[in-house]
Amino acid sequence: MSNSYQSVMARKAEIMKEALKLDYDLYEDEGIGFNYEKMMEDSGFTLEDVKKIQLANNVGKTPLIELPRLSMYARKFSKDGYGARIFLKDEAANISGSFKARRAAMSIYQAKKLGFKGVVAATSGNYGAAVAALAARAGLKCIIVQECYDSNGIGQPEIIEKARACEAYGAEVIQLSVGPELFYEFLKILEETKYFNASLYSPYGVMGIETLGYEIATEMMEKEKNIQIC
Amino acid sequence: MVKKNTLVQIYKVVLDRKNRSENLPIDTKGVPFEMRVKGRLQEASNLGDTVQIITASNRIESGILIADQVFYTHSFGHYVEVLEDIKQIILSETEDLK
Repeated sequence: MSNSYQSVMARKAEIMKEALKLDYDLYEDEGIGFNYEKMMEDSGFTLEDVKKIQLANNVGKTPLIELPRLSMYARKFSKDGYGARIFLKDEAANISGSFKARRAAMSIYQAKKLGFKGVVAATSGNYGAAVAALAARAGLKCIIVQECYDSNGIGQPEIIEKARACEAYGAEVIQLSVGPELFYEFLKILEETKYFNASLYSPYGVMGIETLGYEIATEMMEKEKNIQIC
Repeated sequence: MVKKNTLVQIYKVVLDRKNRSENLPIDTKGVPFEMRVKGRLQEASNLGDTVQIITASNRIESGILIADQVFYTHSFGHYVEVLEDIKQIILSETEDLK
């Protein structure tokens, strides 16, 4: 089996199907349509399930902090009687330090449920650290594939910092130079390791984020009737 | 000579210029697609040798040995003066808040 760029890319659909145990073709509508709701429904998790899985992993239920001084500062420049109460949802309190842990918790849960021995994610940011931390917690191997270096071998500092975090959590970090062939390397690694595709954009990665909006809405409704979330 | 089992970093050309994706800007197309990865050195070797390592996920990967005793050298970068200006404005404007 050839590992040339063309050959691996030609095997894309089958590699992805094997690594996620999900067939996106089932949700293709005629033309360019895609039945997102059906795909999410078929994933088999309710919002309650997601909340439970996240809480069991030190994810979610982050502090909602009122910033009264910032509210006062905003009111200094607004018309009398205007100016919002400003709050901050402290997502850095999640395991691994960002809201991406919400997504990673679900990908890792699904990988473990299906019996995979490890996970792979293509990410240069916080999602990598989240997958690495939660994989370590679940006892799964983890490989993070990053787009990091320019052609002179100079790495972007913020991406190297994420590699440091991932490596501290025990993950292998593959650091690539710039180019769309990152996806090619990602596919090769999935095929070689037979690990789970812990993509940000799988139904699991997507559903993990839904608890954030739910938490903000329910916590804020206890405090105020008119809410603007940004 | 770098000892066996040392944590090292290797470099490898994943795709040379000819074999890269066709849809690339000209300057990207002009350079190879490269990889760097860390792991434990499998045999005592010298920098510049082609070696094998075992990575954190227990994969065997091969490439040119480019660093031993790998450490991080990234930083927060230079001081950004405009942020200091903004900070001073905010501090002066908030002085009279209760």
